[in-house]
Amino acid sequence: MEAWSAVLLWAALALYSFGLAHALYSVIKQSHKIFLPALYAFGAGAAAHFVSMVMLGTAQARCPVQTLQQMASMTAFSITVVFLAAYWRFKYESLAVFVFPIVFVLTLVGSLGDSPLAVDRSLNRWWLSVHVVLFLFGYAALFLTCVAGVMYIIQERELKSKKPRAFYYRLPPLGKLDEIGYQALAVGFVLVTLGLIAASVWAFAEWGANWIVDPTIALAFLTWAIYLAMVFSRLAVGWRGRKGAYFSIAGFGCAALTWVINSGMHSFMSR
Amino acid sequence: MSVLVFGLSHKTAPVEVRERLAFPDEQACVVAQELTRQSALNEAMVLSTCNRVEFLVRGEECDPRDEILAYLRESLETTPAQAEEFFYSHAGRGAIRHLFRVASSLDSMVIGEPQILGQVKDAYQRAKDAGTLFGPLDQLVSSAFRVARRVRNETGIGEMAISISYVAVELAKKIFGEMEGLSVLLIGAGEMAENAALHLQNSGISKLYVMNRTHERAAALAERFNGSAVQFDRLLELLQHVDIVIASTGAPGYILSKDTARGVIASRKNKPIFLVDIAVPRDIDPEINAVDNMFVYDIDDLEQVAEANLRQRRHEAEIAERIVDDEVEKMLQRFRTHEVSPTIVSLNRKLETIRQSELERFRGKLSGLTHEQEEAVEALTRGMMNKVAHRPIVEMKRSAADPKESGSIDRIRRAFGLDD
Repeated sequence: MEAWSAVLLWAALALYSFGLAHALYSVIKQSHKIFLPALYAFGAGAAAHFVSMVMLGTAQARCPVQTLQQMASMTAFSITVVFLAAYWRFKYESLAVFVFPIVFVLTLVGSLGDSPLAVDRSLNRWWLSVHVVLFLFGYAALFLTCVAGVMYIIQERELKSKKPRAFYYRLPPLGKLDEIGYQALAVGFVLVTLGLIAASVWAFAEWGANWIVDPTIALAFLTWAIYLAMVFSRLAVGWRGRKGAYFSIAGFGCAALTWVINSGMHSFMSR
Repeated sequence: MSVLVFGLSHKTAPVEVRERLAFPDEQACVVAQELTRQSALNEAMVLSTCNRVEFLVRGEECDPRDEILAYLRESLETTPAQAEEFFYSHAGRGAIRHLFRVASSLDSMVIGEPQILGQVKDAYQRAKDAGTLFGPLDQLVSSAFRVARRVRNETGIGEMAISISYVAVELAKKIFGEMEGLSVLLIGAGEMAENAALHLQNSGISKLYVMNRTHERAAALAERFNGSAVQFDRLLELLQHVDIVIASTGAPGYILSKDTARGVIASRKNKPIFLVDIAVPRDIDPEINAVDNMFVYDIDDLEQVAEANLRQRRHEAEIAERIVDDEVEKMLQRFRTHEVSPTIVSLNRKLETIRQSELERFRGKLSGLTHEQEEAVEALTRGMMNKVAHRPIVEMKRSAADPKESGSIDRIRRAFGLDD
């Protein structure tokens, strides 16, 4: 079963490589000719990826988020799902140029063999698996907010400069980028909040209160606080547009750091 | 197949000549019918727009160019000198390429304009109805639609606005995403404002306010476009919730300063606003463009975007030309393959006729054969004929696949006497 799972992951990687090819081709050749084939390959890759993870999870009887490789693979999958949902809703292919390469790289990391499973990892309790998965999908949505933010800043500069260049023609309108960013923020914020609640409830039950001082946990809370501030400032003060875009990039920087640190394992686990 | 495009366009003939030759729709049908009936031409389509008059014809047993020249001389009283001066003609590959370029709007006066495809489609439909388009030429024109669609899909040739008032609408779309639900304020009700209102109305905005020094003019314009006329003193209040402002007053100084603008954007909770200033002298302080979520374009800025769009179109047109070249080769290949199969059929038929007649000739001498021996003779002769036919068939298929090869099918037809 695990061998088949690995084969399927390689298949997913191969399909994702079409996406990578599209991203490179569209940047270098300024042509979007191969987008549709790449999109179909990408969708097929996502299906293979999903089956692969289910098989791995069944074989190991745990949610496959135990090792760094499995985390990378699950992250890639969550970004894929978020992208496909966003594409289905908004139909802007320029998002793909950002998304396809990162999904490819993360899946590549995920397919590079597994580090050995540690004995008695607490994550086999499904509560904790749930919190990891919620976080990963939440971060994937926030990644999309960040991508929309970057595109917003570029497009805004084009419009303010009054000298349209290639980006002006290729990127979606500002209003749409704002909408994509905000909707992804709303979804991501809800998921991250739920993930945080799941993790806190479990940690309280297991360890009492002393885990809060752990720096990696503190970082996760800081990330959440930044996104809370983003949602709030948007609703109350109307911080949108360029400021909102910068905010979303900073917030995602923090989220990415949290991901990198926690993809190993919380330090308190090894105590 | 011998296809010919013969015609004149904005590139070769001035409007005085084009208008004299342009046919109304019904007459275009008549001309196509006359061409196929009175001359040796097999198929014909006539495309007549204000920028071009073209005859697309196919003639297998004649020189299509001579036929058309004769027709023009007799029916339309065109002198040979005129024909020489204003008309162009493209044959074979050149004709296919020209047709594909015309349908894809690469030969248009304004490259990428969308009307031409519809005009070609109309001409096609009329020619089909008139019965002058039914065979290979029909296939060719249908392919031209497919090529035009491919050009639209794979290049951005028709996407960019190149007239100033339309550029403003396009910019608004780049800022807001879609026009539905947006409200617009016109400050000034002159001719420019009217023109802008027309474009905006067509793009689907939902509310239009008009403001003018003389209120009657504002009221008249508002009525025409289903908007509402408002007094000048409501400017600040309206600026808080409209999305697009088009200013075209004759005021000597700025009617909107940077400080006021800052206040406006704060009270809008940073909802973006697009300020189009088509007045000279300008109405809106250009410095406002530096304020977040406020976009100011004056008449020169619009012009600049229009020029950039035109450059972009030319760039896209280069990509489109490559697509057309690619499709022309595919089309030629398809036609060549079509020519091959009837030749193969007639070659096989010819050899079979020879075989049968030879068998017939020797029937008397072979009368004492048993059933098995008869079958052996049958198989032997059939096998020989297949061996003979094998090489020429391979050769024809090869030459059909090779665009540089020509004439080898004709040579084979002649060598085997297939046309006798």
